[in-house]
Amino acid sequence: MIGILNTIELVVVAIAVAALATAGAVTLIRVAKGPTSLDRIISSDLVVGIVVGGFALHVVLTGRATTLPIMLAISLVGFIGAVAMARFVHDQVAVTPEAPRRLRRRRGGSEAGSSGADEGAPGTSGEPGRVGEEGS
Amino acid sequence: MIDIELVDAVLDLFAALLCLFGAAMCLTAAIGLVRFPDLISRMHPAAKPQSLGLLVLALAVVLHLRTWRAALLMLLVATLQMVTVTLASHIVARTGYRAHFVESGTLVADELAPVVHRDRKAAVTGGRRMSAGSGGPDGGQTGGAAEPSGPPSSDPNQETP
Repeated sequence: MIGILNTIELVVVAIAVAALATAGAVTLIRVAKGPTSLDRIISSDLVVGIVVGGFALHVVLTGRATTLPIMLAISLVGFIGAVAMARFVHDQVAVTPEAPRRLRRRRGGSEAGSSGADEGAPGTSGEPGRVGEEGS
Repeated sequence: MIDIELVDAVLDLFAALLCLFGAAMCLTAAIGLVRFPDLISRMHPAAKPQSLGLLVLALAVVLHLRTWRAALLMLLVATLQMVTVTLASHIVARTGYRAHFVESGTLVADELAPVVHRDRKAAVTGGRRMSAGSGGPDGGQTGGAAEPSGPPSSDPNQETP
């Protein structure tokens, strides 16, 4: 009876390992082809979660508690990459190729005294080109 | 004696079933991430089924090990997961919206658009006003954006709707 239960347990955990490996592979597809970098960011976040799940399955398979601190550490710092990359994406979008041209034109028009006035210009002027790029 | 061993085996089997459920949740999240069409839709499977899957996997670990140390560590992992997934999703959604990765045609209701538009306007005209000498009425909304000496691209970062 107990032997049968143990066998069933092993089979079930093996299926879980296969499912988790498939999930990781499928997520990597999105990391590879995600059209925007934000897609890649959330996909790699999901990869981190799947790795933590893999450690959990390892604990269940082997019965050893040595990987528990690793799970803790990964879930503690896993989000920092996503946050840092998201901030970086914002800067990248705000400075678009046509922004400096418009900035220069506006500076030429209203003299060089109001440098602060042009600060908001790159973000707004970058919209159409960026959106068009996203569509492709 | 035999009874206790049987209870152990049944608990292990239950843990294995929870493992299967958690892994299936992670697989669901991955499939959703690949199949969904745009960024906002993809953020949903990346956050919710994955969190549920990880919580269930942590529960499975606790059921398998059955020690207080494991229970405490897994509670910590679950808590951190809930907190950090929320944080990362919020930052990604905010960046995605403000960087125009979200097409407004796909949204049923867009209550953020007027606020962002107003803040952008305030960032431009407020900066002009600042350089002219007065603080402007929009100081609370666009606190960082009203500083004339900030780097050009960091202005929209500091708006809080």
